[in-house]
Amino acid sequence: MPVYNADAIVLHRILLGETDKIVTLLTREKGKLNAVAKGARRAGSRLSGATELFTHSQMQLAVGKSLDIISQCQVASSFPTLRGDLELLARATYLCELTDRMIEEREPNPEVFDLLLSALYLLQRAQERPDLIVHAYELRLLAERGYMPQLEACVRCGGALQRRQSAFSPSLGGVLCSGCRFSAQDAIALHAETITFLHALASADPETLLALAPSPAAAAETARCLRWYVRYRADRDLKSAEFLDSLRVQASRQHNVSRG
Amino acid sequence: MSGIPTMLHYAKPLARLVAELEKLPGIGPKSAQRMAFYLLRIPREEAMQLAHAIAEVKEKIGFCRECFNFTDQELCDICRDTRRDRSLLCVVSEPRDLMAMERTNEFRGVYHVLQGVISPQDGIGPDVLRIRELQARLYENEIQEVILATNPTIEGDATAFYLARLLKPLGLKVTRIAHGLPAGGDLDYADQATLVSALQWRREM
Repeated sequence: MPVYNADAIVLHRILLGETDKIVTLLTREKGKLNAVAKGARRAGSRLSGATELFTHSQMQLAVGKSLDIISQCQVASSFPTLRGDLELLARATYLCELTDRMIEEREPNPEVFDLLLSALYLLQRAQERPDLIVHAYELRLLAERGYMPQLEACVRCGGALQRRQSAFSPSLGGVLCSGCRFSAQDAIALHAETITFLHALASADPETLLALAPSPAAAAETARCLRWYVRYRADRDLKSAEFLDSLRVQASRQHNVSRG
Repeated sequence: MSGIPTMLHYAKPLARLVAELEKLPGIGPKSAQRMAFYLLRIPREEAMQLAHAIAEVKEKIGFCRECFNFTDQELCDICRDTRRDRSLLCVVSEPRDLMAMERTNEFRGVYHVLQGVISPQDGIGPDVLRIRELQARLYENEIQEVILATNPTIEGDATAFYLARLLKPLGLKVTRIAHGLPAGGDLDYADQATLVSALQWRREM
């Protein structure tokens, strides 16, 4: 049975039989693939830690008939900070589901692998504003897939964007100027600050990204635009996004109670 | 797969049995056929015992009104036991986790079975679990400590954190069972998360 080594992040896993798991891995070498982790649910299994969600490991896999089989692994990082906080854990889970949804199987794409890995590391440092990392990752993953939204000029007429009264259309894939903002049914109103913020999310280096401090209005508009744009590009709502929404609602309620 | 070409060769009742057995978890077409032939070969009484056991479990087993463990009465054996310490409540995700805790003979409190875990990627949120019932129990009863005994998986962690966030404002002591290296495990193969928690929850010797 031929074997190969891969640098892998666990995107999804389902239980198989009594003690096994089938894991969806994003590997740097072979792209996304499914593999069997035999006995990984036994308490003392050497594979149990490495096959948990968003864990990064060096793995050895054996080529199987239908699915490859994980034979050895060494955990590089299991991101204990992300696992120790419900807000971060929910966001890391979402990043994995989004990647799983947007990437085709067996299409090597080391850029996406590095993007996800750095997003997970940065998320550990973004306890104050974890959505900065989530939105930056959404934009950059979409850009990798060729779906970077048009933010420079009006997506419909190509005209310059005014300081006020712009909108974002998920179906047209970009920003609409004040003259075109009623031309799409799914247009979401945007402030100029939000467009600047979206630009920063798409291109800022890690330290600048972590230091971004958008106004609550720009943060809310960005979340709304990207939620609908990701949904449009992924063809459906992501399950972990719904859970994340419920956490955000809970957090804003608590914020309002503490302010009131 | 229901294996239609194979089933055409069997008599209808046998084909139906194979198809039903195939629906069981972890049972493929070959195992289903083997089990069906086994059931054909054994004495009628033995086969009927199995059929009756299945019918009886579907008729008589329901959830305990208090803890949502499986029981054939209104309250399960543990909830009816007056010697149990009702100030200690252990929250588990499945009835089989309750049985695992009971096998330790260490825990003398009562339980609450959530009937699942929060699993964001599978779309299982807190609303489908028995969390509202847990909150109701905490308001009414004399519980002082809630022990969260969910698995050390992403879903188990998410459930424990969610519950801790929900229950702590009630002024209760909320704890989670320790996790670290398993008995017979190998330090060299332990992942970071396991070692970090083993270090955090170390104890003096």
